[in-house]
Amino acid sequence: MIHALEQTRTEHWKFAAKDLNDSTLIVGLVDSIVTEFEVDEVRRPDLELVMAEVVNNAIDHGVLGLDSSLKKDPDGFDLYFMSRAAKLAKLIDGYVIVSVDQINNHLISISVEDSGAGFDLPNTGQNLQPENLLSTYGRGLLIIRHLCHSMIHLGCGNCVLLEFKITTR
Amino acid sequence: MGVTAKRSDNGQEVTVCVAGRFDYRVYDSFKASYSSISDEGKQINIDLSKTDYMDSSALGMLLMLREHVGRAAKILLVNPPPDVMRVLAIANFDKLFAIKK
Repeated sequence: MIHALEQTRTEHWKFAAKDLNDSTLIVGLVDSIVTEFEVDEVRRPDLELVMAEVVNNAIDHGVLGLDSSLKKDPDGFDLYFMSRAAKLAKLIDGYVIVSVDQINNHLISISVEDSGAGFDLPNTGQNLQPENLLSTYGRGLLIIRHLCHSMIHLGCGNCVLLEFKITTR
Repeated sequence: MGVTAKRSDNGQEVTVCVAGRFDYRVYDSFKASYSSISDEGKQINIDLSKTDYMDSSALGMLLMLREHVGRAAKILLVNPPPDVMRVLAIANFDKLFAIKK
């Protein structure tokens, strides 16, 4: 049985609380994925952007439990970022797990799971509409959706599953 | 690398250059670069020519800048490289901001 001999490539990265405050986390992760899955260099900027958005979402709204609606007030963005930095600096518990599977020569699937409580699924995406151009949040998901082949949320919203093209074909 | 701000000789324009990565890590310095600007009739140029990466946190910062200056100043995004321009376009920021290429 030839199929039984085929190896499906899968890699996992687990980031513990202390790792999440490392500003080189994203670049390091992207380097690993590019190497392990032979991602076309042309696709690297998109991959970096997608991973930054999806991992930062997992950290902010999952592990840290920050509420995007904070950013609605005039000083909200300030508050949000100060709160993020303070919470991240003293974080003891929590994790983000990134798993990457090769689907075929051109496509990988990326799952990002966090230790958070998840979120209200029907509400995600409401700020992706053009009339919400000025909304101070929701653009991360917009970018992910735009750059990925597909995006779905799983479980209670604490896991996101993406498909990403690793070649230009 | 990082954020640098320069006022024109006549004081009417402030140019903020974001070199390297434009993300939440430059939040403090980006905010500091424009927080003193409140006079009428000024122009703020955000020089993106040396920006090699931008994500949604940077988009949020641009909106905060817009809110901060209100009608007191015009904001011009200058020379975004293709990767940066694409992020601006995905978020429809080309309809919110004047962009000079």
